[in-house]
Amino acid sequence: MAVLKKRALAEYSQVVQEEACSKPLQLMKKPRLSSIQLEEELVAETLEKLETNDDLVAYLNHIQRKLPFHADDKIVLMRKLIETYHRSEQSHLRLKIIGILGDFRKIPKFDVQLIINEVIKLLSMETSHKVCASMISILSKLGNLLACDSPLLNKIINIGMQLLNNSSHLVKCHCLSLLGGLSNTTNLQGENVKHICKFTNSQDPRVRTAAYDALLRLHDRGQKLELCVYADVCTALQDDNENVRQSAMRIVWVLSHTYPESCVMIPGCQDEVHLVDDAFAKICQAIGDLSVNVRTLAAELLGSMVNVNPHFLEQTLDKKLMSDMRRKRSAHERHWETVTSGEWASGARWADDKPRENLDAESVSLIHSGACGAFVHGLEDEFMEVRSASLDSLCQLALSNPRFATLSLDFLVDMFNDEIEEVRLKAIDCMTKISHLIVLREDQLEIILGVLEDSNVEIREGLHRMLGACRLSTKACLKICVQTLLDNLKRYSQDKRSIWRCLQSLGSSHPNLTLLLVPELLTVHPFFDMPEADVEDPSYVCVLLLVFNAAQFCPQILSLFEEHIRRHYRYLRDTISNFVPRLQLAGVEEMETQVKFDTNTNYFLQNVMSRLNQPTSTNQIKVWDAACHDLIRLAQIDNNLAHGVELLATQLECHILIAKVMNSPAWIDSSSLNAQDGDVVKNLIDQLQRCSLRLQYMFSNLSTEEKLLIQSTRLQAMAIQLVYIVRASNTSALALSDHFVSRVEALKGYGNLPSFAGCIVKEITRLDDTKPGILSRILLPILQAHIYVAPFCLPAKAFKVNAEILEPTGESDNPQKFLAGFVLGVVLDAEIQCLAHPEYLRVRVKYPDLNAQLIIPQESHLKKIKQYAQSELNENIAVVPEHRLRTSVLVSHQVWTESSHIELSLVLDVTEPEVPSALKRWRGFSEDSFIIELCKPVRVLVSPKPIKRGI
Amino acid sequence: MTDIKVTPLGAGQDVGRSCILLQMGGKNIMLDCGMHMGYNDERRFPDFSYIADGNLTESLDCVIISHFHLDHCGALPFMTEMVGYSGPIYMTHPTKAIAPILLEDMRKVAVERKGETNFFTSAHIKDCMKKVIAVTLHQTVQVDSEIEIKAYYAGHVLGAAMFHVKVGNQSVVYTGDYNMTPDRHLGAAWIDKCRPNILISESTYATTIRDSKRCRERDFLKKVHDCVDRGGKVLIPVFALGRAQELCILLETYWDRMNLKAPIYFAVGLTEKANNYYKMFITWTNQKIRKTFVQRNMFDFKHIRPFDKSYADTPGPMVVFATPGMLHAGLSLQLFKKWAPNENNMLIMPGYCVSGTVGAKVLSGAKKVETENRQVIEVKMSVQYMSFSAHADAKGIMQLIQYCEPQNVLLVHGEGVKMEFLKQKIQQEYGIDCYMPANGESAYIPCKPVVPVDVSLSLLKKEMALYDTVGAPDPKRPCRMHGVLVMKDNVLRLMEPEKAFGELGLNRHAIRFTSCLQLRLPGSASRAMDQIQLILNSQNTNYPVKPSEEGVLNLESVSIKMESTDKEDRKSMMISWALQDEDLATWIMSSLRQVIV
Repeated sequence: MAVLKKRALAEYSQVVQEEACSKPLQLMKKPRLSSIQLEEELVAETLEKLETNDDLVAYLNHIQRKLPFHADDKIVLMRKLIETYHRSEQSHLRLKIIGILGDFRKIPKFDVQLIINEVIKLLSMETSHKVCASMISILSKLGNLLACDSPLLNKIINIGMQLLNNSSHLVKCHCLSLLGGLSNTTNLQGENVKHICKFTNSQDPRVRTAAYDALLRLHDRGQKLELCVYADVCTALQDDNENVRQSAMRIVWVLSHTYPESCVMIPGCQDEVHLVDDAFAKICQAIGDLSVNVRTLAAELLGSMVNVNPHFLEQTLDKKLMSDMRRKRSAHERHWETVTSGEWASGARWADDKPRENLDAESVSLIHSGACGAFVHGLEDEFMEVRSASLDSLCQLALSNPRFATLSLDFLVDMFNDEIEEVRLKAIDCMTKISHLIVLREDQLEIILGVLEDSNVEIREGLHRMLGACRLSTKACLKICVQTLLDNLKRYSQDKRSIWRCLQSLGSSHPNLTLLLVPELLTVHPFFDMPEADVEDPSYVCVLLLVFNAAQFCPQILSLFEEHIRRHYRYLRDTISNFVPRLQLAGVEEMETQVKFDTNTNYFLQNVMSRLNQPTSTNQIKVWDAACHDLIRLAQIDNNLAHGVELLATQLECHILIAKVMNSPAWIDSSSLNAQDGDVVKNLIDQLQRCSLRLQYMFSNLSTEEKLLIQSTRLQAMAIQLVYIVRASNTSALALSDHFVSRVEALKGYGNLPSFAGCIVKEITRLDDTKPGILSRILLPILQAHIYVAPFCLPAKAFKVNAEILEPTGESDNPQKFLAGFVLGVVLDAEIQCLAHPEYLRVRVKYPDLNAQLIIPQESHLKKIKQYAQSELNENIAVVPEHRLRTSVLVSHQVWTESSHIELSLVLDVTEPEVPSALKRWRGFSEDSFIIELCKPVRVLVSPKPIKRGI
Repeated sequence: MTDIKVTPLGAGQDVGRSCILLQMGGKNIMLDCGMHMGYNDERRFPDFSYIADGNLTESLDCVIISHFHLDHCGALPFMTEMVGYSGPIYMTHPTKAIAPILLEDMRKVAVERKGETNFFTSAHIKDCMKKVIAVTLHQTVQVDSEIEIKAYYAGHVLGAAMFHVKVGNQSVVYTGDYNMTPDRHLGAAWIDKCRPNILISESTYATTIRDSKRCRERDFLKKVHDCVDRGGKVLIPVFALGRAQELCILLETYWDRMNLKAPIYFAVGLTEKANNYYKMFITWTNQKIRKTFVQRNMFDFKHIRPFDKSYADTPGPMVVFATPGMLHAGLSLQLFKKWAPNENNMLIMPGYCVSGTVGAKVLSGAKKVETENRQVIEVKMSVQYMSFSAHADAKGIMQLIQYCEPQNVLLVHGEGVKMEFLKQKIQQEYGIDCYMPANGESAYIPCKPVVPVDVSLSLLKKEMALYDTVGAPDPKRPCRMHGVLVMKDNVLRLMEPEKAFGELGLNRHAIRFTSCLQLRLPGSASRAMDQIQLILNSQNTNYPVKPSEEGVLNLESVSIKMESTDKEDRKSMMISWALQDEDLATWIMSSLRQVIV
């Protein structure tokens, strides 16, 4: 201590001297600071030179930013830091230093035990609570890095235990979280837990919260909490502090999952209930809590308590209504009664909600005891967070309890009318999820269908999905459903596809109901020939889709088809084949050929594969070329295999290009050739780059081996480019080679690499210097050895990204007019399947002057479509992940004399991952080499008008 | 002195003319100052002569107005300008903005239509409003050195507030009218756990538990939509402020969502002025409106336009909001006369109708209605009743009680019979006292006297640190504090002994007691000590036993020392303790005696 004091004193006197000095010294301060930041190597020594506290803080910040660094003298730096620690009187400096020491753990292979020992030593002398607390939190972070049987760990835990008696809440909180995070859960039982439990009685709410959180943490790490804490935790649910209430509620929830079956006494009477039921009731009560956060948490937790007694569950939707002491039925009940009694609303019904029987004043309980009405309150809450959490929970519980699902239906339907759109959407989604559990009644359906008039596309489409998945009870239901959908189509013609899809699944899930409606829908008359409907009429197509899809499960429908309907079937089967199922209609043999053909493709594919994997022949390129053609054609024919086959074809194309480049004499020697040859090679390499990028970014759902194979091919393409740049051009290849090496390094960790990648990795690791020249000298032989070595495999599960622009359709002849220089929003609606990298998706706008713009679509405009319905209907087909992009593309240009087309298309822009910042300014790449087109561009007619002046 | 006295001058077992006199801690506070809409004579205003004959300013410390409805603020100009009161008046900002509009409207009706004299004038209203001090939510306002008030959100109408009034150690929460379920434009009432002595709550719906709001809203919207779809006209008679705005928002958003084109009209009048205030006080509305107002203020109606008389005969569908709400006069009655004979049209009554009005007749199902000039109207239009009310129901009232945990509840603003039921329930389920005084009747609520003592912070910290170092917190372990209670200048203070002595200029003396016990214990003195330590440890968990070096045991200030005497198995044990540990020492002595002697 004495030494410390002396130092402090010495320091103090120095500062005084400086301040006494004249101005010039103060002016020096700035440049000195900047010079410090420059000299990174002198870390340890500079610490001692700094005199004022501000400098020290700045420098410490600088060190922290630099972490983790690769300096050799980390230990020295640590010693110096600790010395500085002893010198500094101000606690914020010590806090900073401790923070840096803690960050030392980020340095790879640094001795954690050393830091821990140092921090423990410092901790014993520290007086500031804040610094103490920060030390403890660092100890707990470092402790996580230790092995679980390390003696040091026990030491840390003991320190945590001791410091629990500290007077500061901050220290206590950190100690508790340390104990929660580090206490050994396997051998040391109970003792720690009991000690932590005691702190749930602390007078400071922050400590109480920390104690409960520590218990939760222990539970997460496998320590079973004891049942006896339940009673105490339940009283904590009434705590004054909302954080305590939240943490306590979590513990109640945990206990209800650990001991669902044990019994709890109900206070006031002799009955016993299961703990899970009691906990459920307690959490339900918290839905009426004062604080929004507690309410939200309660609503969230309810959802996972699926094993609660159904009786309790049903109570959550029950709220006894009364009016002037008389029992009143809720609107839902009333509605149900009118439906069952066969009466229909007939104008004035004033006082139809008039109260019925008198209630006994004694029997009415006003505080909701138990679970009563929890969800009714949750769904009516003021805050959207609570409402949407309640919806989620309701849905989850309904999924596990069909009776509850039926009960909750009315409430879900009510939520369709929420004031916030997100909640409405969520309600529809929830309904979709539970739709297989419920059967919709006509009156309910009527209310639901009312929402189809909503002007929001997403609500409508959500509802279409829901209708597609639900089950209807009667013919009349189906009829109004179809009717409203057709009205919807008339109103919003852009919903066509979504409605088609909806009717498709409606048809296939209700074949028998459809059968009853067929004559009416298709206007089939027993005696008269009715006029033939126009097959281009969208609403007629809708009806046909419903009928055709029903017909595949109900052959009787087929016999009702008239000749023109058969014709329409064939037409639709050809044009929108994915909406129209295969029917056994008049052409039974057509069906059979299809089956035979299926086996053929597999056989054919195997044939191609075996040809590919044969040993190299002299005209290998021709063999590959032929195979490539075959594969591309095959992908067009067979939908099931298309994605995988296309991947194979793309890979093949890459290797053909590789072979072509390598075989041309010009690619490594620029001197001997004429300019034309050089261009050919350059083009080939360019093509190769694009092709390999397509290979890498367009396919997803691959196994690791397949991914490595693709990586290897890409590496080969990059190697070729690198060698070409080094040998045949005079541009600098420094950045390019660095990039190449980093790519190879990334592959290092994998075992059994494909042969090319394996060779490269082996060579590069052996290399000290990665200058382009040396690199290309090594690469060349490896490349040449691998021209024809290309193992191919067929990734059967692969997905290829595929986009389709639904809107604009490109058919409109009316130009969209806007003032030149201002912006025009062109509505773009597109479906993208299997989008593995949504972050690279761009909308490309090409103007007639060949300028192209890449626009990053807003994140919220790109939505992942949830697919419940499809996965249920055909389980054998893997669900294709699908995205929907609905955005407005901003277009702007100067004045044109007449209207002209701009082209919109969806592309992947892979510049970011493929071009490191060092290469950004490199001119070797052509402008759009890192852009992968996903679909054909759509043309939109626009005309920027000059601004009219002087009106 | 410690009793709180509450006297309703209006709204005691009654609805209308809310005016409650609160006396506590020697202060007189008036909560609300409303008028009764049912009377036209002097009964419509509260009886101010009850308070003091003559000078109100002297006998009242402040007036607090909860919201702008006339039955809560209608008598204010009368009181301030005609009776004479110049003390402070508190209300929230929206209330201060909107109340004069309503007061002026009422004055016009009373003076210009009914021809009343001796009524307050426009100038009176203006002067009265100048005396008002506006408060913000959760802002603590110091009225004088003792009274402190704080406003909480009450939901009921824009700017409605509950007030927490504190005098010394006593506090009262007055709710005014409030709503515990959020609606389309306002949030739910909220209060923190302030644990007042009394909660004065309204109890309009004391015996009702309401159904979920969504059903009603959906029904309403569906009916309007259906009617508009078949080309009919919808008439919605409303009162100018409050529910009208909610319905407007409801229809406006629905029109937006469903992309409907039929026009909605709102009969202009004072509403337009009021709408401006609704636009301004966005912070007082619900989550949705607050969050979206940056893009678009929900009260900037897109589909709702002002009504012109000529529109009444325009063909085609339309929705019209018209005043007054009970169809007894004015535009709503005119429109009703015009549209009633067509069965395509629809009438929606969103609120309660006083019997005798056309509205009440129509609602009860009359097919032919006679108006004032003997004209008979045939009612073919469909008539719907939709209740949109913004008072808390029985469950809501109970919930509020649960929120703020009062020691007593006092019910006002409701019917006596209904209150009786709620009173029973409150007593039964919360076990707290509940009062329901009638008008002019005083309720005395006894409160336990509380003597506040200032504890010096350093003492508190020191003692707390001691408590902390002992071990884990244990609610059963008593925590004693050593300090000196000083009474000076009518203030009690608990101080550290040293400081107190310093202030008094005295020397501190400590008293220690010593006693000697003869024990029969075999073995050496140190072994005997260990034995005693074991015994103490086993019996006593609260105080840790600390052995010191010289063979002395310490418990708090008690120290125990052992000495061997001449005889082999006889030991004399010396115990010494300070005065504050008298109990502990006695306990040790007795327990040691039991075990050893």
